[in-house]
Amino acid sequence: MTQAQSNINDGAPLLERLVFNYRPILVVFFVLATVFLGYQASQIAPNVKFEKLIPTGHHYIQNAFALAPKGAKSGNTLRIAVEIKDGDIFNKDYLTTLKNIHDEIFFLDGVYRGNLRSLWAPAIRWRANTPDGEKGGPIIGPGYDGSPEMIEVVRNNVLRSPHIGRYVANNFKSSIITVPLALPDASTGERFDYQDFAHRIEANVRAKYETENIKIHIVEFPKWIADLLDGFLDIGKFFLAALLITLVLLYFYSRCVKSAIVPLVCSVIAVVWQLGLITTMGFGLDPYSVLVPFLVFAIGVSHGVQIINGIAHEAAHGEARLDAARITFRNLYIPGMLALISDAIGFMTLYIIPIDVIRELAMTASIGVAVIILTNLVLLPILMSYFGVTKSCISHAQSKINADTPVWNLISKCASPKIAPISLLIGATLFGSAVYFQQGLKIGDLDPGQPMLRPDSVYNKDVAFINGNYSTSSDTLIVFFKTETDQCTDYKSLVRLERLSWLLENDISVQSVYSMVTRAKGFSFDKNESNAKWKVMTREQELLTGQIGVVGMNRDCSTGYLRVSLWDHKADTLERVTGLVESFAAENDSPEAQFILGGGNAGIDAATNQEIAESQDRMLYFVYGVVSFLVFLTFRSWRAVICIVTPLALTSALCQAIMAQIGIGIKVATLPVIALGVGIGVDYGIYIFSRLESYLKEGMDLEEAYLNTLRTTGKAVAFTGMTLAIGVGTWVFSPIKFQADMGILLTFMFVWNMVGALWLLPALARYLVRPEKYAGK
Amino acid sequence: MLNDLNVRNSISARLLGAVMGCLAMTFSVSTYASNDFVDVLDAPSVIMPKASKSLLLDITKAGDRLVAVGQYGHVVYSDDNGKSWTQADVPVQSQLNAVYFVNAKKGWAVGQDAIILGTSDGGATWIKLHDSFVANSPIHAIIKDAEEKRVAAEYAIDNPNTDDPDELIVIEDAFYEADDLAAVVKKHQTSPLLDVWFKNENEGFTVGAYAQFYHTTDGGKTWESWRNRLDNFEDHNNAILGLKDGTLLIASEKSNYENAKVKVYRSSDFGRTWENVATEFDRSLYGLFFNPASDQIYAMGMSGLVVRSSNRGVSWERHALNINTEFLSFSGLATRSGDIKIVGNNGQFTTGTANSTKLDVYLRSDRVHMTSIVEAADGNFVTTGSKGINRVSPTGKDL
Repeated sequence: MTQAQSNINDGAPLLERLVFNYRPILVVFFVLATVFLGYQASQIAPNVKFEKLIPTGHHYIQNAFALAPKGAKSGNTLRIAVEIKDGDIFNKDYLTTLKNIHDEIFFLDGVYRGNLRSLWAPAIRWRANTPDGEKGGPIIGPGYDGSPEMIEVVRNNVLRSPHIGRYVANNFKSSIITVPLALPDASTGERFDYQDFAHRIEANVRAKYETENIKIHIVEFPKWIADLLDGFLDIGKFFLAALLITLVLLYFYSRCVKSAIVPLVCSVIAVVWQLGLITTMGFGLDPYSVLVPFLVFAIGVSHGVQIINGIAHEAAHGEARLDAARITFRNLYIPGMLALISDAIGFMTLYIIPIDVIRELAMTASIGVAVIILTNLVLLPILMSYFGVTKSCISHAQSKINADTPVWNLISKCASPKIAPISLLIGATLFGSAVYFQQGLKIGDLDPGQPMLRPDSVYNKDVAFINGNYSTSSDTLIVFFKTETDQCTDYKSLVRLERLSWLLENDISVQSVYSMVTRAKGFSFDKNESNAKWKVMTREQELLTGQIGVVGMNRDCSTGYLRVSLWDHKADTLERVTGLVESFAAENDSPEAQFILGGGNAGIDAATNQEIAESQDRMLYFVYGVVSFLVFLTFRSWRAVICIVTPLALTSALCQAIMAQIGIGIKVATLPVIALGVGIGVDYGIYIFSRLESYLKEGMDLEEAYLNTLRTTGKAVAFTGMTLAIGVGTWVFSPIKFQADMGILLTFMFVWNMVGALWLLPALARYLVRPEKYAGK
Repeated sequence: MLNDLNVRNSISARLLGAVMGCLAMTFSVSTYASNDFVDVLDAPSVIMPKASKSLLLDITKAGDRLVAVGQYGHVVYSDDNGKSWTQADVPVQSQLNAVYFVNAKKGWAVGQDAIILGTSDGGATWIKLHDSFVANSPIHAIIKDAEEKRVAAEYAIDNPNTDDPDELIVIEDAFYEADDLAAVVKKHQTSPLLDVWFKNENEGFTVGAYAQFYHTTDGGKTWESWRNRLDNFEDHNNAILGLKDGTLLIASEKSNYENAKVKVYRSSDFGRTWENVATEFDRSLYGLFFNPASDQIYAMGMSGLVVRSSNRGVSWERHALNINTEFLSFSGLATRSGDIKIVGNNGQFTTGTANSTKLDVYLRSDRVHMTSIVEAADGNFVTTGSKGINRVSPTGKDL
């Protein structure tokens, strides 16, 4: 044993000697580090800040931050529609239920009571011009007693109110309660607990009042952010599922309890370290970074499999446990590290996307991968050098060495001169079709409602209900209108604003616009006996300023707002509408008035889409450039680069074709997929090519070398593909839409990258690799 | 081969990227150009897809052609009974409130800032004849005149030529009246004309806010103020109707004092002389039309008011409706067969015959505000309103 050790030490690389000669110290270090980071990880808390989900550096968002009036930030009002299934809202029972809900909400903590609005609020009024002048009053007056006569009065009041389509559904089968939240002053540092508030609303409104006949629909930011918070931690359950499935697979793969548990434990340690480290660095869990443990775990297992595969192989050849571990380490640490470094760099390219959650994803995932180098390339062989593999594992591996392998024999034909051209032809055809079918690929979210959540989620069904029955849209774009102080009601500037409004109103995707101009015209109409000929903006400045009052402007009257309600937030819509505003601004901006695109959820979406459009190509070049460079650095051969990278490119192209075909747009959530897919997918090629190279050096011809590669590492590669796919495949069941989308696409990429590596790589090698060049090296 | 494809793809992708980049750069460069302001009276109306589907205020016929006018200088016309619409060339973006044709070719439109436009080709192209700022506008003289009178009255107060308290009160009253008048006529410059009627290609009338009333004898090239011929100090003249026999009627806004009754001004000599018709109605009138079948004149106004006169406007009686309504009735017409159609706010579509004791009020479910109606050659009707053109059946339902 000692003899063997000294022998093996002689030609061993420095790193190997460091690792294996100081095993006990390293084990102690790993235990201590795991205890410390485990404690840190237990302190991790969910943390979703809205600002992190949006490209805060984009000028639209900057404009919104700079120009939006204090306290007018969106996201502070909940809308609740109370629907009656049978009949319409003009009946005593409905109005009583509505009053009960109104009162219930009134007494909830966190509600800004003074601005609570529903048909029962005195501020929701009707108005009419009568011969005796203007008249008006609350929709449900003090004399209301539920009698049929009073119900008729209510109906009449609604008909002459401006609230149809806003507080009362166009079909009179529901009405809205708007619930403004009492948000704490930002300066106190106190934060509003949206999740808790939404839970209380659910319990006190939906659970309490929803019946066969009464349905409750709850929408707007406070609700969906709470649903998001509720949903994204669900993914913890999936982690457990992925863990168990992987354990079972590992056991069937190795037929060895130790070989199943040790890589699993090492991978879990990697996850613990990763979580511990990000907590120590001050990050929390958000809907994106919560996915990183899956990736870390899956990558850890896939590299662990390579290690235990090698150890079993060496053990089957009769090596003792320490030597088996050392030889495996020696064989694998270079391709392993290379693979992990490309993973990390693949993740780092995500940093190009200027959205904080994605940048944090890039960082935390890179940290996770770096951690795997320690846990699965260092700790795992050390542990295996102590535990060794079980007898059954050795006999299993031995039986495999000698056994006929019909599957691998078959696959090895991919390298044969007959099959290779056919494979290349198929590959080319697939690539061609992929390029063709990705033509419809869109940037942005393609589904209506809140794209973070599933289209069939309760929230999005509620949004669809409100969009279908009211004339209000949940897709709003804000155009700021900047003037000198006190000049925001200047007639000439407002004429420009009116021209922009009219331009936008003519776009098919614009539902309506609202601004000071709308206000002034409406006021003039109301004050002139509701005579439509007076629904016009007067050039009489004093009159005009009086008509506007203080609506739609900031405090010092230097900024006005044009609120553009859109029918949808499709990328085409946003691009066209923002384009209209930009070109109008270019032709109409003056020192007196400038038109500046800014906030609203559609403004945020538009900014995000623009950032993605800018980032996506850059990211592709970057990730492929880096991966190609690293592969070249390892193998010193451009032929190797082509053999390894081409299957990845095919997979990326197919992935985009699938996105186009099943209607997933390129968005914040799917943009990282290709970087992740390529970064991790390159592992297969690296492992296969390095093994292939080693057999070619032994003087084998290509087909034989490839068959041997498959017999040794092919199974590990296939298994790696499986574990990675399972790790991300469970996301498909997430209640969060983008996690599910990412799950679908990453599963596809991991599986196809594996297929590409096993099938296309040898076919390319047939034409690019000359065995005689390697032989004898 | 695969690689070739890959390269080609990435080249096109790179080109795309470059284009995107350029676009992004153009977007992010803040163009802070100083673009000169062009007034709505000087800027041609823009041809826009929704011109016929947004606020339109009046519709009439030029031969068989339908011509409607509305916000932003929009004029749209149809030669297929309202099925398809073409937007006319109009030199201004001012809101147009009324349109009138004396024949298939010659017509006028009036609106905000006392804009008056003329057409000689059935409404396809329009030229500007007048606005409150052009040099030969009578408005300048009215304002100047009133201001001079105000100054004189003020001088009279400051330098009284009498000590008699009664006479001093007269002087004081004269000052207040002159002061009020100066304030009223000043508003002419920024207020709308509300209706127009022409006797023939040369002679016509237009009425408007704050008692505006102008007359032309040269087809609209020059205008003269006739406001002094009416006993109307400051109420809006909402509508004008002329008949071949020399009858001219102007329906007005109800004055703004307690228990005021709305006035109708009538002339039987094409406007040379006028008389006030004091009515018993407590609300403004917005529209007038003549029913040749029954030789009656109808007027309509606030809160569903419909009145009619069988003696050329000398006396008026209220027309009963089948329901009470508080929505205003804005304008109407008599059909070729002598039926009555009146449209108004909140989807109010009122129908009847000359012999109906009560008119039927139908409230359209879309509650759209309607401003005007014409009978198309195909027997259907076309309305204008806050959502633009609507083709409707004789009962007011959408076609």
